[in-house]
Formats: sequence, structure tokens, C-alpha cells
Amino acid sequence: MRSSQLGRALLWAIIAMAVTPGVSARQTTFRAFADLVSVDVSVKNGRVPVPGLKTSDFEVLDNGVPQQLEAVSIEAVPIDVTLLVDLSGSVVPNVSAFKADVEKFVTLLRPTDRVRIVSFSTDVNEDVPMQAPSAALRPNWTNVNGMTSLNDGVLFALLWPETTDRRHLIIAFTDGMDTYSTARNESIPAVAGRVEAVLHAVLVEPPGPMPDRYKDSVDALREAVRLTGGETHRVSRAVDDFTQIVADFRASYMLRYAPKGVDRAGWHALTVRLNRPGNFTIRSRQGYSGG
Amino acid sequence: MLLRRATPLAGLLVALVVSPQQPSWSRSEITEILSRYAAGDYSGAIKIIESVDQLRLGKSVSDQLSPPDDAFIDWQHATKDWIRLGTAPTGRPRELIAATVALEVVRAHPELAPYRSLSFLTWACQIVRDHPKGSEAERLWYLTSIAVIQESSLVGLLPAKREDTSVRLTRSPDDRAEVLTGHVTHAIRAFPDEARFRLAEVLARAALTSVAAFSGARNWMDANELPMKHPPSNSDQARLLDERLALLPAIEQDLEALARNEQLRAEVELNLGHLSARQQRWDQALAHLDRVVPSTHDVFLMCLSHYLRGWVLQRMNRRDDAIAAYRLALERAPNARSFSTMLADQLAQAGRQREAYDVLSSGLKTSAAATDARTMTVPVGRGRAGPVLLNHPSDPWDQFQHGDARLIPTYLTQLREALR
Repeated sequence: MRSSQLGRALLWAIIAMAVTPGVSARQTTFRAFADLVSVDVSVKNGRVPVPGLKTSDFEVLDNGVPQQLEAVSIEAVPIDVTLLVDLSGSVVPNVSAFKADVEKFVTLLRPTDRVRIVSFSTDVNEDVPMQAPSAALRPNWTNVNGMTSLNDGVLFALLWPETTDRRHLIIAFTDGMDTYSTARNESIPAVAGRVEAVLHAVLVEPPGPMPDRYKDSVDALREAVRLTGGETHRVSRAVDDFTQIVADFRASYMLRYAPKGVDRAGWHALTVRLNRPGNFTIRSRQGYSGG
Repeated sequence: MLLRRATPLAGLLVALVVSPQQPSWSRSEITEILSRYAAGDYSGAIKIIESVDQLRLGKSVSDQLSPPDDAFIDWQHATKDWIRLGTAPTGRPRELIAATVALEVVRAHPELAPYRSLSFLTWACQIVRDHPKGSEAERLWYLTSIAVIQESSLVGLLPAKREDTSVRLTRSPDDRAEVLTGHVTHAIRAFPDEARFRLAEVLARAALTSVAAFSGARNWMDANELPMKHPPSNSDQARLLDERLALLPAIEQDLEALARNEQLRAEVELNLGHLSARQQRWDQALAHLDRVVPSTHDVFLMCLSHYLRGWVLQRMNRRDDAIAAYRLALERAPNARSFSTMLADQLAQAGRQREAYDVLSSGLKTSAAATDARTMTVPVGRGRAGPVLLNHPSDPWDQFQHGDARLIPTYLTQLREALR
């Protein structure tokens, strides 16, 4: 099937789904190759998201081969937010105040969004399962203590089952020093490179110089953030940090394309560029595995 | 006015006179503990032991350099008097009963600073050695004491050692002698034919080669892999580690000798596999681990052999085989967080994300639910102390780090029966 025929087939498929009663775009499966590849792209001019970009402004290379894009309106795609919180004691000095910040952040999400709250210290706990945000959502945190199962927590967050009709944003709040996980440091970027979620990390600086032996887990987290197209932030105030991350994520673009001209198997390095001049910072996931 | 100013001061003086400083725990309390234990009221005795809170029995975790405290001195006097009363009503020697209660004290208070626990253990070992019987009860006492030491942070107490920092921190000549000689040495001398004591001694030496403390990571295999990723920058520590790592060939040789013992073979091969994997000798590790399952019915050893095989295969980039091995491990120990996490990791890297999520999600829920409530207080970040879970007893990988600690309930039951 030639690319023009494939494009028309896809277009008719989308139209058919839109007009067929009871069948919505949510039920269409878009996955690599048989379907479409999705890439979340953040475009900023300094710290400010750049609005109003169109499909024609972007160029996406899949293993160096230019691809034909179809963009989805970002406003129409709801967000699943996983808030991943380090409760090991070295990060959250005042659990009550932090809890209040988290509860306030949840109320700032949209009704179509969903939120999940996962905490980790010695154990990893899903305190609030993925659900629509509401003022009644309250994590049951009473104290902070224990070791730091950062890698295990990040792994759990990254593996959240992806759906084509929603975007997944993970916000990790931690000092990055893993002391208790079973998951290896190397695994975190390896898995991050395979998922569609975008990972942001809000890093709390440790009180003193970080020992060398903890830098590996911090580096692994930073690399995972980079591979998903997220950012690493320095903490100011939790609710402000989280809210800004979500706002920036909403202002980013979701590009989709049906891969052409590349072999299916193996790793696909992605390059995203803008076709307009300017000093832009573009962040997106670095690639995907074709299986 | 003078009277009004003097009144509070007078009140304070009166309070000091009528309320002298209380002992840390009373001798009558200690006697009751011992008598209850001797009579078979173990839960009653342990309840009293557990009620002796940290402020009474010892001071803060950091206070390990102070001289023997009142609590231990009271213990020495009270037990001496109790033992002098003669044979226990059950006809069993009181020395061994008191020595067993000392083990219960150490177990009941994991928050005790290591060198406070050491005083009780040294005392107990001395009293058993001073009254040797060669009995089954005595053998069980040694088995239990070794397991209690392996459970605690005092595993370095087991093998003989030269003068080093830990020895210099002991608080009495008796403690120092115990540390230098090595507790397991006493067990071997008393029961030279007991192969488990010899295994404990070798594994205690192997434990001293652990470099995990320098890695900051819990993933024991990564943390303990050699050569070290982050060698210590302190030259004294580096020298000490080099000396200990130089002992590995001899340790492996001693384990090979113990592998000829049919009852120990599976456990020995598991440990040889572990040591080989630590040194990245993958084929050798697999050869050892493959001998475990055919040699035992012990589910603990079997699931660990699968887990370690999974690790080795993962490191050899044989992902499908690693997944199969981790699955076998998880089937035998469904609550093991280590097993579910490693399996999920490999499934995720194989592109099987949904499957990975289901395994990890289920694994995290079940392992948290099965967590032991025993805690100890350790400094956690910014110098503050907080309760920390000692381990997840449902996770065999955690238990592997603590030798025979998993067998303490069995040993104690048998020991108590032998003391009745």
C-alpha cells in the first residue's frame, strides 16, 4: 500500500469513527507500525511555551528518515498525571504542609484529567489509584521515614498501562538518592526509553554534598527524564512546581505519524525539529522500540 | 517576698530527696522473666522483656561508646542470684535458660546499640562455656545464638578477627575477647562435628567481604559486584576492604569442601553461585546454581537459586531465560518483592509493558502487606531517627542476607522444648 493510499485510509477511518454512534476516537488503537507513533513535544522560547504551531512547522525523523505527520489537538487529549512522591524523610520535612500542597494541586486539574498518587519510602504504595480529580482525594500520609525505593517507584510509575486517547505525565518529587530499590539504576532509563509517558523530576537538594555512591541513581533519573522528553526542576514550592509542569505539558504538542521507510524491528531514534527560525528548546522522547 | 522565692526551690529539693533515681529495670523484674521462661511461660517472659523500653534498657543508638550501663549490670547480678538458686523446677540447668533469655532480650530490642547487644551475647556465651554439657539443648543454643547474631547487625561477631576498629570499640575485656575469638569458634569447639557451625563460620567470613555498604544501594547484587564501582576514597577503608576481598579464594575453597556434605550441598552451591556472580564469573555461577534444585526440597533455597540464575542470565543479556528464571522464583515465593520487581523490569525491557505492570503492581501490594512489623530506630536523613523496617521476611532475597535468621522460630521452639 502506497503512502497516499495509507493516508487516505487512515483519514476515512478517523471520519468513520467520529460519525459512527457509540464509537469514539478513544476506541481506535494507535500503536507503532500497525498504527501510529505518538510523540509528545515541548517547544519553548526560554521558559515560555511556544503556542500556535502547526503540523507543517515540525519535522520528525525516524532513524533519520523524514516522516509524514498528523497532529492531534492537544486540548482534546486529556492527561493522566502520576504524582510520585518520596516520603523517605530526607525529602519532605513537613508532611502536613506537603500533603496540603498535593491536595491543592489535585483540585487544579481539569475534570477530564485523571490523577494517581504514588509514594515511596521503604515500600512503594499507590495511595490514590488513577481517578478523576476531586477535593476529596487525600493521601493517607501521617509521617515520613524509612529508606528510599526511588527506582522501584519510578519503574512502577513508568509502567502505567498506556492508552491512545490519553497522555501520561509523571511528576517525581525526590532527592534522587536511592537506598532501597531492587530495580537497578540501569533499568530506569532503559524502561523510560520504551514508554510514551513524559517524566519530570522535581529534585530536592540534599543538605550536604551528595556521596558518590548515590550519584548513580540521580544520574539514572535524569537520563530517564531526558529520554522521555521531560525536564528536571529544582524545587521551590511543591504545588507551584507541579502546577507549572502540568501547564507546560498542556501547552506541548502531540505529533503522530505512521512510520514509513524504516524497518520495524529494533530501536528507532527520533529527531524532532522546527521548520522555522528561532531560539527554541525542543524536548521530546528520544525514540521507541519497534518490537 | 523571700519566702515566696524560696518556696519553689524548697519544693525542688524535696522532690529530689523523696524521688531517688530509678534503676533501669528492677532485679525482681529480671528474676520474674527468668522464672517465667523456666516455667514455660515464654510469651509472659517476652512481654516483660518487650516492655522494658529503650530509655530504661539503653540509651540512644549513637551512645555506643559509654561504659556498661546499669541495665546490663542489673542483669548480671540478678541472673547470678537466680542461677545460684539451683536447678530449674524442670530439672534443666539454669545457666542455659538464662543464656537463652539473653538471646530473647537481644531479639526483643533491635534498637539496642550493637555494643549493648554484644554485652548480653558475650555474657551468654561465657556462661554456656563455663558450664558445658555437650547436650542437645546446648547445641541448639549455639544454633540459635548464631542465627540471632546473623539477624542483628552483629554478624561480624561470628568469625575470629584481628584487632580492628570494631574490636577497639568494645567496652569490656570479655566483649573484646569474644569479638577477637569469634562466637562461632566457640560453637565449633563445643561441637566439632556440627557442619552447620562450620558453614556459619565460612559464610560469616564471606559476609565480611561485602562491599554493599559503600554503594548506598539495596540491590545487593549491584552493590556487591566486584570490582567495585565506587571504591572507598578513604585509604584505611580501601586497605581494609582489599584485605578482606583477598580472602575470597580461601572462602570459596572452604565452601567447596563443605559441598561434599550432602545435607549442606544445596546451600553451599547457592552461596558459591552467589560469590561467583559477585565476581562476574557468570558461567561458573550458573554451574553452581544449577546444582541447587536437584539437591534439596527446601523451597527457600530453590527459589533463591532461580532468582540468582535470573540475575546472572540478565547480566549475560539472555533476557528470555532471565524472565523464565525470575518467574520460577516468583512462583515459589509470590510475596517476594525482589522477585516481582526484577521480573517486571525484564518484561518491561522486552516490550511487554502491560505484563510488567501487572507483575509489579501485584508484587508491590502483596509484599507491603506481608511486611514484618519489627522495627529498629536508625538515623534517617538530616540526623533524625525514625523507625525502619528491618527486612521483609516474605522476601527470600532479604532473608538470604541474614543466614539462618529465618530459622530462629524453629530453633527457638526446639531449644525451648529441650529446656523443658
